[in-house]
Parts: sequence; structure tokens; C-alpha cells
Amino acid sequence: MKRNNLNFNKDDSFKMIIAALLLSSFVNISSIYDWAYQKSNSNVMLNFSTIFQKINDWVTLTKINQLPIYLQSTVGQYKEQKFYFGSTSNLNDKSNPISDNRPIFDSDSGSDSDFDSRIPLKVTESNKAYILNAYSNAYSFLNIFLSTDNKTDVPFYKQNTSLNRYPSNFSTDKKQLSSISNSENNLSYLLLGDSILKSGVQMHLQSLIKSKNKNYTIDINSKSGTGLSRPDVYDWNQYLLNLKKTQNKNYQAIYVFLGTNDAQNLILDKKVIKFGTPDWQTEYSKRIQTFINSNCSLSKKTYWIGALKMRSVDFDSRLMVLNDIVKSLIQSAPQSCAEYVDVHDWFTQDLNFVEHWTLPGKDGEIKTVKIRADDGIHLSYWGSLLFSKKLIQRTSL
Amino acid sequence: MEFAIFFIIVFFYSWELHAFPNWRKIFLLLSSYYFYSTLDLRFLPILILSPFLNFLLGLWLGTEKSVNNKKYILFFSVFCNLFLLGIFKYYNFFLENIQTFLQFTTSFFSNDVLQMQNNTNGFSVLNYEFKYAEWTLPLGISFFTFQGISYLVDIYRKELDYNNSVLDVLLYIAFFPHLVAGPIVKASEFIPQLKQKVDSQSIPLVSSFILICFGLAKKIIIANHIGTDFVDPIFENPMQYSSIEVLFAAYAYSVQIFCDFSAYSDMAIGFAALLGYQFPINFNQPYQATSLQDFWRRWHISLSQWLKIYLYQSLGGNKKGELKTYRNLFITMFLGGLWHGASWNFLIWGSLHGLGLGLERFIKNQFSFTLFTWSYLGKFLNLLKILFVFHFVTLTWIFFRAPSFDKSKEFLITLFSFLNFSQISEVNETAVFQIFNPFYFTLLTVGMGLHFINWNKIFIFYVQISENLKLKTSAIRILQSYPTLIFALFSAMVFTILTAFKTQGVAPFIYFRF
Repeated sequence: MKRNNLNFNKDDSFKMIIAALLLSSFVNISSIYDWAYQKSNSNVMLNFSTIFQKINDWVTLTKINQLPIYLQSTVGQYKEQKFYFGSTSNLNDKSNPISDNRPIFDSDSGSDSDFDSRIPLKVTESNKAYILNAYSNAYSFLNIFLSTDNKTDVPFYKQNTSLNRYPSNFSTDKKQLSSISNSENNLSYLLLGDSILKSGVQMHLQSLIKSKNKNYTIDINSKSGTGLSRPDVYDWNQYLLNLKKTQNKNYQAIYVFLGTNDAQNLILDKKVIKFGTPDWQTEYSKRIQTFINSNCSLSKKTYWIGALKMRSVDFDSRLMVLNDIVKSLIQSAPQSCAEYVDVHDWFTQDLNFVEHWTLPGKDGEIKTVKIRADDGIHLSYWGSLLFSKKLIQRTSL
Repeated sequence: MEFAIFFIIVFFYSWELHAFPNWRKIFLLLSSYYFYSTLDLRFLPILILSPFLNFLLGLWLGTEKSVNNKKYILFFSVFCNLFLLGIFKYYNFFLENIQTFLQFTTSFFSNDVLQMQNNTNGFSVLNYEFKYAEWTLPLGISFFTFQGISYLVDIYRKELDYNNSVLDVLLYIAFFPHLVAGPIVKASEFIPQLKQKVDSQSIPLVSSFILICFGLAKKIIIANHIGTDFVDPIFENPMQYSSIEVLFAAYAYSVQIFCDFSAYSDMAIGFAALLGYQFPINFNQPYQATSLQDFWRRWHISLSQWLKIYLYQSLGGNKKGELKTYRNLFITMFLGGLWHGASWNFLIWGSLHGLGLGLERFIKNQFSFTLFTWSYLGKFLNLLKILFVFHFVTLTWIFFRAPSFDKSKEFLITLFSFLNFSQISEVNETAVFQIFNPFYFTLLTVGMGLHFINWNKIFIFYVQISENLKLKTSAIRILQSYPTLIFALFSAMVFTILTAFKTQGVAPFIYFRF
């Protein structure tokens, strides 16, 4: 195939294009799976997505998927950094308008699940905690990636916490509410969630809560692509554990927006547990319970916001399974601080998914706005605003 | 992903048919129709009938002997094209303005005089009902209408033979790489390419692929993030943000629109090259322009050339005296703004550019001697000019982007409230930066940096490398020895990086709206 220049004939060109497509797809099998899954309205695509799912499960347990995950996390981490002015001691100063009000961790042990690379964490040899750092971890990543003793957990997470295991000091027994007192004027709220929260809801919720009382403070932790199914991507329970340890804060309410990324198989002890099976339901229920208990130890009230209606019928039915699990768990423990907020039918028409919504405008005119993003999953700017307003009303804030 | 699969199939079969040019063109035409139908099947008949009508009108125009009749046929043909565009794009806009005007006049006269009644779907005057249309704008109608006009005018000016095959005309207009967002290729440039046989032995795979990847990177890495996460929220509600953040949003939109639109053009050029056809470049580092005139020679070159050749020169250009030149400049830019959208914001945007071009010409004519005297300042003066033109263009982009005139007013008010900067946290209790962060700053910097890399020099160097074996680098040698492997690895790397940057909600290409 030697050429005198970098132009090629049609046969060689076609071979090269096919090779490129196959290799690119294989390295990024998770993204191909996501794409096929979102298109799974037709039977053909449903079969394709099943095939991709099987390949994805295998690839998840191997090294091939780690590079895209590492890159995505690196980009996600860098995207979340903020401009800070002045000393870092201002960061928790709620009177400082520049503060972004996120919890800041300063851990002596070096174990930390927050992604903020500005925090000077001490890495000790004994626990070999690897800190996500967009600028200096490339060598560490390569080192681990090429090493022979690599376990299935993604290398840049804490290696002292094995995959899918939770700290033993968290029991699964239902806890009583701790009595928490707050000054009425300085209430704090915590918003936790995935990209549903991040892509617009957090901004509107924050400003709506602030509009009730400007002295209220809102802490936010939103991580795209995360949930309780995959603590290897982000460990929410560990985050709450650290929050309790370092901040010991009492929130008036915590709003939880998790679940949209949980309609997938779980990985436990290097084995894949298929979504929807009894084992899956048992394990997932355990994780929900642990998470709710942690929330209740930090707040007076926890609102678990269910999954929205999705465009993809298959995806929507999977999320309804999740919604049902969470709803029945919460409702079976009425003394718990948690309350399930069912939003599945919000902004639907005859219970069907809609992308647009009409609003009354000035002088009786009707305005049509797009409320869902093109992916049929997330909310648009207007959708987030309307959703946030309704949520505030619903939770009687 | 769907487009990748679609293109690979088209690529394979179109080259298999290279020995049968007509069958190849039929296949490409049917592929283009299929592509368009996946976007919106309802308007496929327009895409078929409009070029076919232009083909017939072109024949009529070409066969007519009388010069006067030719003129009337041309006017009629252009009117037919613009009527089609106007019905879909401007009908509601004109009705709204008529309604507003009539409402304004009834404030002076009694309503009984006009007997005007408003309702949510339209209005009625003197018992005649005007209803607003609820139809969607066909994708790409602005582009393929202009290409139809280009075909007719080129025949009229004898730059193109009228005796073309209907297949060539249909394919020229419907060719999918440039169908929905340009570039607007002149008929006299593209139809001759369709008549020639394509060379299946020398497909510019590497250069086209690099161009496509570059376009994807600009779109996915820069434009999408800046657009969906930063620009959109601020333009929707500018008064919720500080003036500094609003200023960065204005800069960010300048970067976003450049990256978004030039990305599409790059990909269109790349895909067309892979199929054996050459499109002209559409962007040439526009924010390096030292004058507005220079800017319009670098930005959306195909549209500005179209406006210059088919509108500005038709009005008389600069050949009918200074006053008429200013008039022609203003009309051209005004209508150019109208082409972008049926909204006063676009008209304001176009008018500002028209006024700017006129003023610039006036200053050049009046003060050219003074400028010559100062020319020894050289690069510093150039830099000032670049900064001035960039800021003027950025200011006009505010009207282009804002969803309404009220929002553009709010944006400008917030932007110029920097005088209250020290009190901003007390005045509106917003943090200096609510959304803007190092990530978007980096994207902004990279996006602007693209303007200051001389890609032409790099490309020329690459061509020299590839053609002269004695200058081969080891990278080129490896690529030539193992092309499939290197190409596949490079693609996988690029795809992985692009996937890492993908946003949750994908911003559609800005010019898809037109």
C-alpha cells in the first residue's frame, strides 16, 4: 500500500475508514452503548443495544474502558473548577458572594472523594490514595494501566475501598431522625445529584431558594454520569461520610436527584449483576437505604426526586423500576426523614413524553417553550426552570 | 453515529460507481434525498421540485434570444425562488409587523375605522381574516434557494451554460454535504465539477479526515460547551449575571459562532472532498480582519460573495457614485440580515454592519492621507484595527444571538453596568462569576487562538512534505508504510477525546436554523 503521497485509492480508503470505525467504536464501547440505548425505541435498535450491553459489561471489567473513563472524568473535573479570588479561607464564608458554597474537604488521611484538585491532600504511601488531578496524574494512570497487578476498579479511585463495598460503620438499620435545630434565618440546603441536577436545575433551585430568604445557604454537589450503581465512577456514600466527618452540618433539607444513571447492571466482587434481577434489586435497595440513612443523619428532611419521564420507552420503563424500588423503600419507613417526590408524570401530556410546553405570556398570548433537551433525557433551560418552580411548591419550601 | 454509518455506505457505493458517472450522480442524489428525509420528510417534495423548477427556468432563460425578455424571465425566476423562501420564512414576520402597525394606528383612530380585531391566531381587518401560519421552516431552505438563484443568474450572465442535465442541477442543489448549512457554492463552480469524471485513484483521505476531525473538535469541544453551559443561560437571563460575566458571554458567543459555523463548513468541505468534489473555503481567520470590509472577505465567504455578486453588484455596486454606494452597502447588509432570520434583531444586526461598512468607506475616503502618514506605526496600528473590528463584530453578535430585542437590551444594560462593579454584590446579589470558570476560559482562549495559527502555511508545508520524498519526515514514512493501522489509531484517539468532551445536551449547528 506504499504511496508517493497521502492520497489513496478507493479500495484502500474504504479499508482504512472501516478499520478506523471499528477500532474507535471498540475503544469507546460505552458511548456506542449509550447511543444505541437511547435509540432503542425500535426492535432493531433494541437488539443492537442488547449486544452492545453485553460487550460493554465485558469491557467495563477490563482495561480498555479505562482510558475513556479517565479522560471523561478529567474533563468533568476541570469543568467544575471555579475562579477563586483571595485566600482559600474565604471559600466557606457564606457572606462572600464569590464563594460557590460547595463543601470543601481537608482530609488528613488523604482519602477523599471530592474532585477538587485545588485541595492540598496528603497522599500517604500506606493507603495509596490516588487523587484525581487533571495535570499530574497522567503518569500515575499509565503506571497503573500497564501494571500487572491491576484490579478491576478504576485506578484513579481510592484503592483502599474495593469496588462496591461500603464502609462497615454504616449499618442498614433504619435510623431515627436526629433532632436538629437551625436558626430560622440561616437555613442550609443541600442539593445532590447527577446531570439532571447539573444541567440547569441546580441553578434555578439555588436562585428560587435564595429568593425566599437571601440568608439561606445552598450547598451543591452535582456529578454528571453518576449514581448509586457505579461507585467506581463516583462514591456518593463516601461523599456523605466525609461530609459528616468534616462539616458536621445540619441541613434543613437535602434534595437528591439520583437514579437516571442507575438503570444498568451492578458490579459486585468482579461479577456483573444484571439489571432487574432479584439480586440486583436486593443490592440496589441496600445502597439506597444506606444513602438515605446518611442523608437523614445530616438533615431534617430528605427529598428523593424520582426519575423524569424519558423519551425512550425502554429507558423509561427501566427507570420506573428504579422509581418503584425507591418509593416502596421510603414509604415502608414513614418515620424516616425521607420523602419520595414522584415527578414521573410532570410536564407530560396524557402521560406521554413531550418536548415542548405552553406558557401563558403577556396579554393572553401563548408562548411555547422547549422543556426537554434533544437527548430526550435532560431538561432544557426552560424545563429546568419550570421543574424547579414546581418542585419548590411541591416541597412547600 | 448514524451519519458515520450513512456516509461510509455512500462513500463505498459512490466510488464503486465511479466508472458510471450518471449512475454515480443518481446514487448521490438519492442519498442526499434520503439524508434530507431523515431530517424532515415533509419538505422533501420542496427539495425536489424547487431545483427542478430552476432547471426549467434556466432552460427558458438560456433559450430566450431577446435581452429584455431574458431580464423579465430572470426577475420572474428570482421572484419564484424568493416567494418560496418568503412564504415559509417571512410570512409570519410581515403579518406581525402589519398587526403591530395597525394596532399603533388604531391608537390614533377609532377602532371602528379599521374594524380591527385581534385574536391569538391572527387578526382581522375590515372583516378580512389574516391568520398566522403554523408551518415549520424547511431545513436549509435559505441555502438551497440562494443556490437556485445563483444557477439562474450565472446562466443569465453567461458564466454557465444553460444546457445542463437535470441530474447535474438537482445534485448541485441537493448535494448533502452542503445542503442544510452551506457553504453556498456558485453554480458556475460546482456544476462543471459534476460534469467531469472523478479520480478514484487519488482520494485525499488524510487531509479530508483531518479537516473533518478539526471541525468536530471545534464543534464538540469548544462550541457545544461554550454554547449550552455558558452562553445560553446568560443570553436567556442576562440581568441575573454580573457585567463581567456578561462581557465574557459576548466574547464567548463570538468564539462559539465561529467554531460552530466554521466546523460545519470544514466538515462539509471534507466530506465533499472524500466524494471527489471541491468546495471553496468559507472562513479565513475572520477575527484577524483589520476592517469590516476585510471581515466580510473572511467570514462566511460564500454568503458574502453571493451577496456581493448577486445583490450588491446588481444594485450597481460602487459604480454609480458615492451616495448610491453607501445605499447599496446598506441594502445588501440589511437584506443579508433578513436572510439570517425573520426578526428585528437580525435586521438590526445587518443594518449595523451596513452602516459600519458605509462609515468605514467614508472615513477611508476622507482620511486616507492621514492614515498613510500614520502607517509607520505598522503592527501596532494593525492590532488596534483588529481589536476594534473584533469588538464591533462582537457587539453586533449580541443582536444576532439574543432571543428577542428586549433580551438584547437587557444584555447591553447589564454589560454596561460595569460602572457599578464595586457595588454589584449589593445591587443584584450576584457573584462575579456564577458560571464562568477556568474551563470556559480555556475554551475561549483556544477558540480565539485558532485565528492566529496560519493554517495555510501549515497546509502548504504538508503538501510539500507529501509531494517531495526527499523532505519526508519519519511520521509521514510510517503513515505511508502502515496507513490503515496509523489511520485507525489516530481515529480512535480523536474519537475518544471527542467523546470525553461531549456535553449532555447537544447544541445543534447554529446555521441549521436558516
